[in-house]
Amino acid sequence: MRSFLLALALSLLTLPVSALDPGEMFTDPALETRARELGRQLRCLKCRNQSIFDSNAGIAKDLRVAVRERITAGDSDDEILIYVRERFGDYVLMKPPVEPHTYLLWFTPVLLLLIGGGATMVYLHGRTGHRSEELSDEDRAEARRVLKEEVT
Amino acid sequence: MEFWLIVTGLAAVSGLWMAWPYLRSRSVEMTGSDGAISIYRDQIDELERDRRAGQISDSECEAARVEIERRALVAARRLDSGFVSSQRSLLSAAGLVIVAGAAAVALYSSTGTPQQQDMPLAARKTEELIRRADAGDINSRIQLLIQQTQEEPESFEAWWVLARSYAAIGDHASSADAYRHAAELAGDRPAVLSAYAEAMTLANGNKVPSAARVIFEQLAIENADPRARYYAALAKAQAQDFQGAIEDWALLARDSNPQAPWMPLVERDIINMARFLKVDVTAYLPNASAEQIAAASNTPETDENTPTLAALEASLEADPKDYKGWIALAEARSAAGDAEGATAALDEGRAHFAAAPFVLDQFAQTERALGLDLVESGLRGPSDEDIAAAAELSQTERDDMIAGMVAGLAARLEAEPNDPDGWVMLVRSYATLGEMDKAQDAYRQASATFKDDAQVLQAIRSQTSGLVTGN
Amino acid sequence: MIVELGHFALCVALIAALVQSVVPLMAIWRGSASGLRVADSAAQVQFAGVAAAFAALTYAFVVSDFSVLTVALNSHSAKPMLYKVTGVWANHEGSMLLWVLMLALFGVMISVFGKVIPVELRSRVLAVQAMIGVGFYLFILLTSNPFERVAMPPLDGQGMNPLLQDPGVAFHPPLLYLGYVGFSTAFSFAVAALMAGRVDPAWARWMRPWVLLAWSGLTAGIALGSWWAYYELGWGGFWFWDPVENASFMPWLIGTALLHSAIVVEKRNAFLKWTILLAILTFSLSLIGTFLVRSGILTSVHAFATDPERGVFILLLLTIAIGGALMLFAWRANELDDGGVFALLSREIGLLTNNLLVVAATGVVFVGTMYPLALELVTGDKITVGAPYFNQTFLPIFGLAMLAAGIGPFLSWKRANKRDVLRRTGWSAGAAALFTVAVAAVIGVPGPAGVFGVFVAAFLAVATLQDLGRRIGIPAAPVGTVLRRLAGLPRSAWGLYFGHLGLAIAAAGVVAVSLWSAESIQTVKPGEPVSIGRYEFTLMDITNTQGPNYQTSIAAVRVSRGEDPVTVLFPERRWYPVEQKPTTEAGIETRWHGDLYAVLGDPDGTGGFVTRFYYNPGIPWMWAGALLMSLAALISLADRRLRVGVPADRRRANLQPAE
Repeated sequence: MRSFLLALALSLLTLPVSALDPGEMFTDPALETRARELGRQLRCLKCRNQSIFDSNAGIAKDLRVAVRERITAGDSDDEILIYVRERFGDYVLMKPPVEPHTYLLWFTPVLLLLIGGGATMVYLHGRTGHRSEELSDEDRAEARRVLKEEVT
Repeated sequence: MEFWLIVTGLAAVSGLWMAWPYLRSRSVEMTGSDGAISIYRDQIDELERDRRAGQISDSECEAARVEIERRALVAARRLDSGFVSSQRSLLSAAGLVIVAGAAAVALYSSTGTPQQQDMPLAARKTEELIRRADAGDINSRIQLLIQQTQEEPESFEAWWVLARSYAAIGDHASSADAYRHAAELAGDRPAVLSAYAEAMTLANGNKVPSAARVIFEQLAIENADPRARYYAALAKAQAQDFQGAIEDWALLARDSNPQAPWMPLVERDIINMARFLKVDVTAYLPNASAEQIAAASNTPETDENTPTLAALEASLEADPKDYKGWIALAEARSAAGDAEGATAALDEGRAHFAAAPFVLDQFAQTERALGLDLVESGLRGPSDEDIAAAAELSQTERDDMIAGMVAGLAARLEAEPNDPDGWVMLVRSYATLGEMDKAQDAYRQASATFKDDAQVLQAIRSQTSGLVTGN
Repeated sequence: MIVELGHFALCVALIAALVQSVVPLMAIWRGSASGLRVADSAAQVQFAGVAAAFAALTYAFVVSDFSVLTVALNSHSAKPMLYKVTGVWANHEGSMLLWVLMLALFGVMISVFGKVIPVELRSRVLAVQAMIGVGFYLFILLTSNPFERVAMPPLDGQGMNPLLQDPGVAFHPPLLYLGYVGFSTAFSFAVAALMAGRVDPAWARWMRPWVLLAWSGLTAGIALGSWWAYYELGWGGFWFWDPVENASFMPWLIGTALLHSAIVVEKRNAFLKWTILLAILTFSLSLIGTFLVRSGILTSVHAFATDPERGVFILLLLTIAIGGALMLFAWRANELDDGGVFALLSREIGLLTNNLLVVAATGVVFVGTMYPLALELVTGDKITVGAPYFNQTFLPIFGLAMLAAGIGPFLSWKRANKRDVLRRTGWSAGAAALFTVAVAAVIGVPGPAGVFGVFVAAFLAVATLQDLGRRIGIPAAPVGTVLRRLAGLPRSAWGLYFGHLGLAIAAAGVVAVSLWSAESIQTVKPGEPVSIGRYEFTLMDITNTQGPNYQTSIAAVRVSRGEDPVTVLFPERRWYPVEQKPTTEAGIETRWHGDLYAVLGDPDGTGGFVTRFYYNPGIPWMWAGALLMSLAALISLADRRLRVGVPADRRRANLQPAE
């Protein structure tokens, strides 16, 4: 019993705050929607590929609260993203900005489709004129024998 | 040896199985296959089906047929390419068996630990427990005893020893439970029954429950068992019959050898009760010493104590996490005749240590020693409710409770240091609370405690890594 | 002794794999049939060895033998038996052992069930399979030995991450590996074909069952993993574009392309080189996935760079396997004779288009997953590539691929009837558009992406059903004929219809939950109702109790709709004392149209609790769709024609009286 109590009580030390706690939420649904939309675009710095909206780490909560403060202060979405990015760098954005070092990332999809399409065109073009030669009667007879032939 | 025999056997069997093709008689295998042709046959069949079902036209069917035939022809012409033959080759087989077997054994020898046996937990637990119990660890002893009661649930001895061991570590609830088993097995043996009833009482916070009271009174009458008499009197006191209680104790004191082990307890209670009832203690304790008489009368204490009291109060104000301080305060107040104040001090201490069972236990002992539990004190049981209430505390209250719990843990470890998990928890707790000095200190103490046990030391180190320096 | 025998068995497996990769190739060179047969027997010994090793490790976990380091670090005596067993593969060493177990399993299945495959091809395939095995056995024995012992075992283990103590995730790795590792067979067949310099339709037919089996397992494995994330992580999400998820998703995508292009090889003797390339790429992505998950590079690029032993080893294996295969491809592919004549509008081209789209989609996932790692390694810049990137790039391409999957079956082989195809496509598109408009009018669809999503899912479903209907003669043929044709459909056709329908249903589920899920997060006291959509959630009471190795608070949440009670949900918060970790267990009630989902959070200190209530429409459809796809592959697998040419077998038997 003693160890159970200790464990239970000590667990209070480590229990994470739940992701998005009602205390931090706006009462105005429009603002709340904006805050969540922004939350989905920002990364929890400590977590692996989780947005601050999804994460329950303390650091994510801090950032959520900061975002909400900016919203209350009347900043637009873009201004808030710029504000956060200035402080934490590109790493905090779930969607990387289009910049020289991400050109390759952003243009890959188009590039892949172009290369694929182009290669197909070349392949199909090269095929034209390649027709199936007719079989002589002799050959056909042999082929039929091969195909009919069951067990020898 | 046996192990290596098995290993060699397995290596040989594996090698032989692999080399089996070399041991078979001569045979011929085709390298090609008419698998492709059978697919074309399928395709022709399918074509025919589709044509019959009207899904393709005759001309489509014919065109498709020509193409399949052309491919079948190509496949058929390539089919005749060749055969390979196999021959029995004992040399190859032997080579394979020896090389593969030797390689496997050599590989294992370089990576394995052949001398190490399996160590399933079930077999090890007992052995490890015996080792620790022999080294004086009562918890391990209890584990062993529990095992023994499971193996021999009909053994009175096992239950009896288990119950006494539980009592020794202050786990009176478990002790009472074990005594109950023992009592059932022992019939109506008075010593067992009274021990059982005593454990029930202790588990109940030193208040005699009605079931125990029945037993005590029965035994007191039938067997004049001193313990039963003592508790029967205590039950009277707790039922507000103070006069009856002090008289019974007096009788017990008179009937007992002055050197009997229970005498100090009885004398203490008589003195406390006399003070409470404001009666002359010598009426009940004819041989009372001057000191005892003084303790039983309500003479105000000397002035020296007052500054001590004030200093204690002030220091506890500053640092309420000092459980020894609370005990000292209670003792000082009680000595000054302020029973209510003493109770209040303990109650306040309890509020700070609500979740630290060890400290609560210490408080309860103090209370008993001071006789505070005899007066109407509203003795608080160990605080399940407090824990339940903790879920509904405010943040500050919760912080306070956690701090109290950590302090309690530290106190317990001071008294019972042989608890690696406890130390780890303590270091972590301090670190979480941001008290890095204390964390560091706790880590040092833990290291010192287990300096002879590399295994435990390693575990503590790894579980607290990053929290304290020096590991 | 059992543990040490397991260790020895693993050594035997490595030696058997060495024999299996060397002797058959030498035998081909020297023309010795006995040597070829050694491939089979060695594959059997290899499997027996690794299976014995796996059994020994399982035994160590079951009896809590903490003298085995892996057991001490990852198990605990108080764990329920189920999780002691699944704990075998819930750690690095054990999961690598499961990896090679699967590899050896596929090898032994080829040696036992692949008797119709000509012995030379089979030996080559098994030899290549064994080479992969050798690499991974060495990896295990040298860097991740599950049988490492500790001289002074602790009294108890350190436990297992409680998030993994769950039936959903317990069986996720075996299924995932069935797929992941199963694609090694495709790789081996491809490399064997390149070595022999010959590919024919039979090759594709021999390879396809293994790919189907692997793909089926991978589909189920991914779905199971996603399902687990959905109910265990507690915020209703099911896919996070996490690198670990992507690692399993990429082989699935490109494996899908491989399945389809192999059909063209078998039916039309075309796309040989392309198919071989796909086979190599599919397994390469499996290997890359293994590297991502097992090297620790995902946790921290920095940590990987400072303690690279395991990572570098896998990277080396990866380079040898992928690089070697691709070089072989570059060298030998031109010798392969790509046959088959077809018009621009034909099923061949339809499948090719589809292949290209799916491969492009895979490429996007690949770049999105690897880019941040590569960028950090090269320039030190840290960026995040998260869900918004994948939603913007992957989804449109995959949407196009799904449209193509709808049209594909309308095209006949060789040359399709243009008018017919256009008419049927137009009809399906019209019906799907009508449906989309109806949905938009009744429920409302936010945004053009949503409209596209609804349309794509509807189109694929309509087109697939239309093709099925036409194939069995609806509406012209009499009922009897329709039923007869329905019964007579080959299993591969059922595979097609179930597979495509499954995809459509799963896509519909994804679209529905993205567009219309409703949620509410609040602090409530017992008895206060909360409205979510048409439902009302009421927290009733909270009970604290004990599980086998955890403490738990279970809430009862009553759900009603208007006056009618619907159900009671039981979300939990658990606390695992050994591991010192909490977990959440969502309370979920599945209806045909969606899930009612409740999560219990912290108490607020005044008798209230933070709660999250959701209505997630379409979620059950996702699982049903994935299940249908997985099943479709198994149905295809059961097709008569994949049980390869019986006559061929008999003929060979006649040539070999000794057999």
